[in-house]
Amino acid sequence: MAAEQDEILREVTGSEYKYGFVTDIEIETIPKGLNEDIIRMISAKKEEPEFMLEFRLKAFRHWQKMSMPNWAHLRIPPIDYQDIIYYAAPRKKPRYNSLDEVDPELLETFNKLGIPLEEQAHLAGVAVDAVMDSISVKTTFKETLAEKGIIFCSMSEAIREHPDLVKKYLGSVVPYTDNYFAALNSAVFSDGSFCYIPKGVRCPMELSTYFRINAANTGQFERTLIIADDDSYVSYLEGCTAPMRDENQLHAAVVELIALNNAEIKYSTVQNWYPGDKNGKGGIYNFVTKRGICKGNNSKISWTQVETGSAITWKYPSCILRGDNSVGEFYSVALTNNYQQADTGTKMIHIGKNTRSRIVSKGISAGKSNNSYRGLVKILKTAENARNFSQCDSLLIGNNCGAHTFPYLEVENPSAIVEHEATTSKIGEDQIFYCNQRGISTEDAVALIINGYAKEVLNQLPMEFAVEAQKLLQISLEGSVG
Amino acid sequence: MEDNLIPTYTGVYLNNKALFTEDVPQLLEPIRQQALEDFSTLGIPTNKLERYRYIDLLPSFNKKYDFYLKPNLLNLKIEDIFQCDVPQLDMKEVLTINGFYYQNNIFKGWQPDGTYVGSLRQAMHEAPEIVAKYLNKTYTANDGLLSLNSLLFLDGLFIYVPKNKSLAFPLQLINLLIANNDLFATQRNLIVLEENAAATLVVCDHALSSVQFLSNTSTEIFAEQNASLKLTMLQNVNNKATAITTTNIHQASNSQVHSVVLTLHGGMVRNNFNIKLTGEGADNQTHGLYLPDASQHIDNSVFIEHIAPHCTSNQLFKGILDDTSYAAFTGRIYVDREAQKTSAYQKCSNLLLSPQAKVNARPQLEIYADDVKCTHGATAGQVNDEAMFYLRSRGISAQEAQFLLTFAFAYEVTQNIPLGDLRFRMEELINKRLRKELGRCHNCMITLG
Repeated sequence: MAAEQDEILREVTGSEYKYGFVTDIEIETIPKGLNEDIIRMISAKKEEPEFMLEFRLKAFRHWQKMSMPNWAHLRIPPIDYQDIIYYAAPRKKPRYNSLDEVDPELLETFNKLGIPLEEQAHLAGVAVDAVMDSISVKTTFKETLAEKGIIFCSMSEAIREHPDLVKKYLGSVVPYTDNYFAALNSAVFSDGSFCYIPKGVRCPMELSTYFRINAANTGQFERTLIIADDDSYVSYLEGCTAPMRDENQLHAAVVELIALNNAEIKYSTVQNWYPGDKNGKGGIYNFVTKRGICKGNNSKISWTQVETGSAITWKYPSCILRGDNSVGEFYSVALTNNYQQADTGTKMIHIGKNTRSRIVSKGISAGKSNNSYRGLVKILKTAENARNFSQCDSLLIGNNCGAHTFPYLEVENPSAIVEHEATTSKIGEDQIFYCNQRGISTEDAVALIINGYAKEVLNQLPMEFAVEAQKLLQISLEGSVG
Repeated sequence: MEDNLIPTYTGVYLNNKALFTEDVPQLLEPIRQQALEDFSTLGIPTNKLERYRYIDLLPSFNKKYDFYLKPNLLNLKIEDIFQCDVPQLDMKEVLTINGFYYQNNIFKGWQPDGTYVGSLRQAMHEAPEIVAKYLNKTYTANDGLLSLNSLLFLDGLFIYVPKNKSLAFPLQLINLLIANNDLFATQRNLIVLEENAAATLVVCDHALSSVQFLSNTSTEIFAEQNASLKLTMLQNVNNKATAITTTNIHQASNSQVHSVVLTLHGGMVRNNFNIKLTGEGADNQTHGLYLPDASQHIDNSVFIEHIAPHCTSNQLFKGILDDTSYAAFTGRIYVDREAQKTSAYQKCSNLLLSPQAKVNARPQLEIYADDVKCTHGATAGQVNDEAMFYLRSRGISAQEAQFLLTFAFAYEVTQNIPLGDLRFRMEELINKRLRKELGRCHNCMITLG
């Protein structure tokens, strides 16, 4: 029994990445390195207005004064920022009117990923804004959305066509001074998604984007901005996969959410970037700043993430609860395997009265990986009757991995109630025995237990995503699970 | 600012070098040398350091202090001005004054039963092998304050209990601070319990003058196999003082160390506990209760390392915060890969009684073994409304109900105080403190006026 379990564990923890392949598309890049000229070049290539160039340059000058943060429980090899190509775009750059015009190889890539662009759009009613190496390739359902007054487009387009909105909100939640990677992103961001939901509109479909890093040696620096005006609702899905590469690739994205009075934003992520091979070689560095502000009263922001990829994850989707009665939620499943490292969690900053937040974090570590939860709950003086509940559970598979919890509770108002709970455990031998006894094989039992463990979070995902996320958890622990 | 501080403090050592190593250079010189090097790089911890994020010690260190380097500067009989009046306590008491073991204490070294209770300085001559074996062996070069302590300590309490013996009486150590000018005091205590040895120790801190004190005390505790130590610390100094304590504990297999630390008074208090469970089956309980009021700042930091399998540890820290006080708790449980079957618990609960009070809690887990049970929890809030209602509906006044519930909240910690009389006395103190009637023991109160 023990030997069999060991065997299964070895298989489980020894599986390799399934999505590794490189798409051969001609790619237009600019020279390696980072300096003001490069930034001017990026800005010029994207035909940006003057204010964007200034924004980028200010960020770049600030970034030069900063140093890499080192407080996370991560071992990050030194990164040579001059050895990165900061801009890559598919060379053929026509505006597609139909799918037929899109490079067939590109479509093939999406198919391999299991994203039937057209099909999914039709059948599931999902509008897909597919970003491949920084440039928006195809935007579907744009017309349908436009009827409702919803703006859903690539960031570059938004900068050109809705400069007022961009100017007003870009950098308002994550200023370029915020942190090292946010500053870097502000200086060099290539593209991303922009979404504006007007007053009183309930977005009729789930908005979705697939990011994919492809060209060798190019970092991906997207920037997403979602604004939900008064009384509106939007659910946004983000999913990522990257092909296999030996060198480590850098991904430093910034996501900003703004919810005005009574608005609600639901942001779901499934992240499955290349985690490096069994020996910890290669993989994506995922250094992401995600933050939402509940600016208006009674607004709500909900983050749900399933993190199974990336060699190093440094990510803290946060909520600033400024409006009275606003609500912040964070649901996370983070799975690390082999030599992956994850330091992820959230920040809930309570400013308004009667604000509430809820954190549910489930960490799963296997192989030789390290998985940390790091979260801050801050109740400011003004946050009368604020309420927070946090739950962080860790599951260890095998005894070569690590699971860590670093919560920070800062309370400045006596009417606040803040609670934090955490447990660490392994898959119980008795649980497996129970399943075995009923004729369920050990590998199925492990899958069953893992999925049950993550259920609380997976339940928060929109249906299409939940199915994929469940599969992903199984694939990541591949060998026997599922 | 910080850079200028390093020479101020290393200067104290360098200008009085002979004094710091004179008697036993072969023992002390390497310790001082190491400490000097480490302190020169580490300096006084700033709140930029993750471990000291919630406390800013620089203003306290950035003052001019007298350094108390020789024991007999005070020409007075301490018995005349101070007597601990915890009644009916069947304890033997020993005093230290500004970090030095008091010369008129009833215990002066080796006892007939083979135990040693006395001055650490003296023990370096009288029990050189034992001191050499243990002194500074819990030292790690990661905390500037500990390095500073290793650099500047001259004396303190030394307890040695040999194999199969136990200290026949609960020992009360009273650390007194007394001076006419602002004073910096350093003290090092060393407690060694050999196999199957047992001891009960109560440590009280008092300030007898109302000048500014900065005390940097470090206690090293070694519990060998099956040894058992019950430690109670009562911190009750004046609100101008800054007290830093570092308690380093090494526990061998099946040893038990149970500590309770009560912080009733103290302007700024930082308690560091570094506990290492190196033998199978070791058990550590560390409990704390802090009741800051006025503008006090209390910061507890507990780091427990589970190195060996089958160990248990339990941390429970509770705070009741009033006025503009500020409290922080950092607990970290580290479980090594080898430490399977670990059970480790950690809890920090806080009651905020005033809108200006602030609390920060960081209960952390760092786990590398898979077959462990570790939980932690932290809460901050106020007295339960329903409980209040229950009491009010039975005719108890709002104020009284608040007292009752607050006291009950504290009871979870105080019930762990090992000696009945002492527990009773502490509870009385807490009760008085909560009612804002009296903050300290009678005699200290009288001395301070």
